[in-house]
Amino acid sequence: MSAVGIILTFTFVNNVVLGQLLGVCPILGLPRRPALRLGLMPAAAMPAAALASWAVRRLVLVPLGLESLQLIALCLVLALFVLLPDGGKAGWNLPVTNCAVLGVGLLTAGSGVLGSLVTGLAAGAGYLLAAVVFSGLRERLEMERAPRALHGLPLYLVTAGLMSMAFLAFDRVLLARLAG
Amino acid sequence: MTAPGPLAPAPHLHAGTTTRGLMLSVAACLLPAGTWGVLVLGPRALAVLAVAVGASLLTELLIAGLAWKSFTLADGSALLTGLLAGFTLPVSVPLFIPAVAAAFAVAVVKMTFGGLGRNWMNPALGGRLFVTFSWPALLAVGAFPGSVSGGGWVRVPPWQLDGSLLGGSGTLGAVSTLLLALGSVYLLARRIVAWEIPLTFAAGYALTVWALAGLPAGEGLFRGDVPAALGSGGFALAAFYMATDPVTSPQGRAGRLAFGAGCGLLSFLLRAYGGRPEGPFLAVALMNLFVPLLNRLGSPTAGKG
Amino acid sequence: MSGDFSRSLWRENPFLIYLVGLCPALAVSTRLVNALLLGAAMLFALLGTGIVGGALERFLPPRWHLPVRLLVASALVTACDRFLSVFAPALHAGLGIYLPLLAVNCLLLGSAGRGGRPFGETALEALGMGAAFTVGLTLLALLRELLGAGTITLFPMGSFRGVLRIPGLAGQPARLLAAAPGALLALGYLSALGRWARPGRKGS
Repeated sequence: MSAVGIILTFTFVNNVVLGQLLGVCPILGLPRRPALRLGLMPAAAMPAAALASWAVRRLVLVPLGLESLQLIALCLVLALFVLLPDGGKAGWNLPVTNCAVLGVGLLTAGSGVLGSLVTGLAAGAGYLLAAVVFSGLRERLEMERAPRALHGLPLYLVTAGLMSMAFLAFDRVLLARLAG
Repeated sequence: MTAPGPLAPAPHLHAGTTTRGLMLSVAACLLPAGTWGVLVLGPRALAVLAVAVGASLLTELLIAGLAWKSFTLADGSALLTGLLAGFTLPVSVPLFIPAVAAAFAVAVVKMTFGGLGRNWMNPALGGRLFVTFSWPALLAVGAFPGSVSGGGWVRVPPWQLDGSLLGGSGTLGAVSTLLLALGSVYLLARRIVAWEIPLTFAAGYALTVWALAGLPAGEGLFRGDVPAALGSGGFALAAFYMATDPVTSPQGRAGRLAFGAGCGLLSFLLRAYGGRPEGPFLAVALMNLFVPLLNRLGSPTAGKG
Repeated sequence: MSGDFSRSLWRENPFLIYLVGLCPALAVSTRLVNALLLGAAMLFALLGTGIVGGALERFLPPRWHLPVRLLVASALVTACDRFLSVFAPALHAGLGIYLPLLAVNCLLLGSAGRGGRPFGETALEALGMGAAFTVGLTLLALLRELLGAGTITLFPMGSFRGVLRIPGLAGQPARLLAAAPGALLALGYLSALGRWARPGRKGS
C-alpha cells in the first residue's frame, strides 16, 4: 500500500484505536487534561516501536532464523526501555507497555524500514486523533442523569463505540478511490 | 478554584419558548416535505414514519419509566427523533429497520447519556448509522426494483433516490429541498436554529462539489453539478434539521461556521469518493464528534479549566 | 479462599466490572471460540507469570519487577502462540496479533504474585482472574456473535466445521455488532449490566 494509503488507513479507515481496538484501555483512562500532551507519549512511541521492531527483526532475528521469537525480542526492547534511568521523566512505563505500541511493532512485522516508519507515524496520528476527540467528548458528559450502572467506564465505552461507528463512514471504498 | 463546568445543558431556550414548543415547531416544519414525500412515495412512506415514531415513543416511555420513574414523552423530543429517523431512511426498507433505528437512537444515543440535552451525537443520526452499518444490503439505494409502482402518485426512477425518504436528484429531491428549506425559514427567523450552520454547510458542499466533483470521474476541476447536488432531500434534511440540532452543534459563531463547513466538505467526500448517497448524514455525525473541540474555537476558555 | 475465587469471578470480575485488560479482548470477541482460546491463554499466562514472576521478584529490586514480568509473559504467550499455530493454524489465524498482545495486557502484568505471597495463594488468585476473564470474554463474544453474525463458532471437531448457524438470527444479523463499534458498545452495556446486578450494591 502506498504511504498515503497507510496513513489514511491507520488514521481513518481502520483507526488504530477505533477500528483495530488497540490502545483502548489507556485512552479511556486518560486523566482530564491535557489530552494532547498525554497522548503524545504513546503516539511518539509508536514509530519508535515500529522501527525497533524492524531493526530487531532485520538485524537479529532473521540472520539467526529466530523470527518466531519476535514477540519476546520486542518485549525485551520495551523492558529495557522501562529499565532506563528515569531521570525525572517518571511515568514512561504506562505509555510504553501500551497494547497499541506493541501492536504497531507486531503489525509492521513484514514491512521494510520505510513502511515501518510510516505505519508507526500513521498509528501515532490515529491514536492522537482518537485520544483528543475522546477527551473532548468526555468533558461534555454529564453523568448525573445517566443511569447509575453506566457511570464512568461503561459510558466511556459507549461513547467510544459511537465514535467508532461514525468512523465506519471511512471505508475501503473511500480509501481505494482516494489513495488509488 | 474549580474549573468552570460545561455550559448549562443544551438546548438553550430563549425566554418564551418551552422544549415542547421547540420540538413541535421543528416537527411542524417538516410537514410540507413529509407530505410531499408521502404523496410521491405512497403509503409505504407513511408506514416507515409511523413505525419510527412509534418505536421512538415506546422506547423512551419504557426507559424513562423504568430507569427514572418519570414520563418524559411530553417534551416532544422522542416524537421529533422518531420523525427524523424515519425521514433518513429509504422507503423500501423492511419495517423492522425504522423500528430499530428509532429505538437505538432513543435508547443508546440519547437515554444512555442522561436524556434530553445530554447526548453529544444527534440521536436520529446515531440510529441511521446503526442500521446503515448493520444491514448494509437492506439500505442500499438500488434496492428499488425499477421505478416505484403502485406506491405513490408520481413515478420515481431509482437514480433519483439518495438513501433518504425524500430522494436525491430530480423532482423528488429538488422539491424536497425547497420544502425543507422553506420549513426551516421559520426556524431561522425564530432563532430556533443557528443560520451559520446551514449557510456554511451549503456553501462548503456546493463549493467542493463545483470544484472537485469532476475528479473521481476524471473530468477535471470545476465541473461539478451543483444544482443536482443541492437538490437532494438527504442533504437538505441534514443541513437544516440535523446539523442545526442545538444540543449537538457548537455554540460560538466561529465554531458553527467551521462545523457547517466541515459537514459540507465531508458530505462531498463521502458521496463523491465514498460512493455513499447517505453521505450528509454520516458527515454530520462525524462532525458531532468534534463539537467540544470546536466550542473552544471562538473562546479558548469556554468549557475549559 | 473459595470466597476469593467466586468474588473475582462475579462481583469483582476484573474484565466485566472493572474493565481491565480490554484491548485484545475487544477485538477477538467476534467469535466464541476466540474468546475461549484467549481466555485459556490468559489463564496459562497468569499462572506462569504469577508463579515465575513472583519467585523472581523476591530477589530483585522493585524497578525490575515490571520488565521481568513483561519478559516472562512474552515467553509464555509466545509459547501459546507457537503451540496454537502448529496444532490449530486456522484458529491461530483467527486470533491474529491479539494473542501476542496479551503480553502487555494490564491484567496480566497487574497483580498476581505481588508481595511475596505463598505460591498456593498466587496460583489460586491467578486461576480466579483467568477464569473471570474467560467468563467475561465469553459472554461478550456470545452476545456479539449471536446478534452480529447469527452463529456460534466452536472448535472444529472431526467433520464438524465448528460453526453453528442459528436459524432466526443468521438471516439478517446486525453486522455492526460484529465490527469494532459493536465490541465497544456491547462491552459497555454488558459491564453496566454486571455492575447493576452485583449483589450487595448500595441502594439508591
